[in-house]
Amino acid sequence: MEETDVTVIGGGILGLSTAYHLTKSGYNVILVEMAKIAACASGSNAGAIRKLDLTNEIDSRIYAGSYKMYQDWNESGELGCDIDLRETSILRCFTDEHVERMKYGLWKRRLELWNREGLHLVKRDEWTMMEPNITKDITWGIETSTSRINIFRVCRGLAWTAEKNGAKIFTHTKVKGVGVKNGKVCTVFTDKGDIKTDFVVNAAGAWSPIIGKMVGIEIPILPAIGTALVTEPTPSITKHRRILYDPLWHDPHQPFVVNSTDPCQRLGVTTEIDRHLTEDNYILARSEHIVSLPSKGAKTQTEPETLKCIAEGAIRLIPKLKNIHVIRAYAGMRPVCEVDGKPIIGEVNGIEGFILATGIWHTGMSYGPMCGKLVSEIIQRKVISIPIEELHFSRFVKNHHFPYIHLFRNVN
Amino acid sequence: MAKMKGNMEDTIICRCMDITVKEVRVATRKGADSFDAVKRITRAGMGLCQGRTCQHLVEKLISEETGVKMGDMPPISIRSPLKPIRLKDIAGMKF
Repeated sequence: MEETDVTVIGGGILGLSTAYHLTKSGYNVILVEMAKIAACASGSNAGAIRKLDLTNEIDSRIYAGSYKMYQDWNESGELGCDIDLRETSILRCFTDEHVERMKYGLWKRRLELWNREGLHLVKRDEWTMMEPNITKDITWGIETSTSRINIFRVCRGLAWTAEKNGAKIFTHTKVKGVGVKNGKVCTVFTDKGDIKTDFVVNAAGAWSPIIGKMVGIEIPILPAIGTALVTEPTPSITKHRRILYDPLWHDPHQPFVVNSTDPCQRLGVTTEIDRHLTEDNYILARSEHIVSLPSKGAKTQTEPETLKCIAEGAIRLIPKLKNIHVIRAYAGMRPVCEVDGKPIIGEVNGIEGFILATGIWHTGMSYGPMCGKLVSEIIQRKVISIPIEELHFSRFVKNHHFPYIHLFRNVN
Repeated sequence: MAKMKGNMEDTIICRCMDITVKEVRVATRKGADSFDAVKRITRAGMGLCQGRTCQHLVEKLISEETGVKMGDMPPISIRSPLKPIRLKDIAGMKF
């Protein structure tokens, strides 16, 4: 039987960052992961990190905090490896029809926000020399930039550093139950033995509702699968590192439409063409829709229909890609809160020591480092550096108004 | 397989990504205990052949370093497409 201060469940960016921050503050930490480090969502994403979200102040402050940490790790080499933090260029593509629709509604607001950052719609004539391979249907573009990191090295580096500071990391270990005594967590039961503990951090991502059930709470999280294709090494036929085109003109709150007859809409397929950070290949993405969890382990399968939709989209945007070979595809389960799409962070009322850190959908890498710090502050009973009350589990009370609930399931 | 002998540290073990025996050993000593883990740190097995050539060689090295039998290592994730296929053929799939 092991004994520790904090047991973290989940070896993704959130769990690892929590373990990293806690061990730095002198806590004893055991991290339990059912598969391997960064097995699912944290190991299958583009590694793009956001620095700012003009529509949401809390997100913005968390992104800024995480970005600062990435910069520090990149400069100090604290994680024991090069995390490849670099600025990359993005071209967002639009057709005439899209630009027409930017005159009103949600997309008008998005355009205004871009304009405020100094980013403007540019006519094709001005960049066609740079990107001659993009289909002629695209008549407008906005050039922006993002930072990217090597996700495997960040996760591995956090694991190494936490271990160096005294954390124990048990991979291929499955949690079987969580013991609660007098309204306080006391034990985590795993298939490799029991752990006596004062705190449990549920950072199990798409699997976090299963852990929630063990202490009798319903966490409203569904698994959303994200898929990408990897091509063979090939000479570059694009100048921008990342080219984005959303043919369906998605509302950012509604990446997929349940029961749509259009497969692209149902599977939430948009076109992202990424040039790899360090290698000479392309990564074609992406899809986003709700599926069920794999029956065993964390191995997610790709679905042929999704691959087909992604391939069609990529060829439509850059026809020259059609003869390039695809060598691999990957998919990861991202946890999405089915009620409002927002993260769930904080200690659960009535179960002392049970802390949730989950539901961070497609901004996990931007959220992770700072969120781990916030969780460590909750455990240390410190003043939390960013007020995150609105992300607390207690928001799921009856009669609360959730405008987006119809997007994730059929509410009749 | 016989134990690797002599000074083979600079031998390229993954021909697609130019990864040497030494790089795999370093990753293994840092805690990579399976082919997938080594792949993620070194990129061995991430090239055109997707580990068809080097998977067993890498596993052999891990086995030498960690003492875990090759057969007891966790299996790698297998997903379609199983071999290189043109993008247009994926786009042209019919169901």
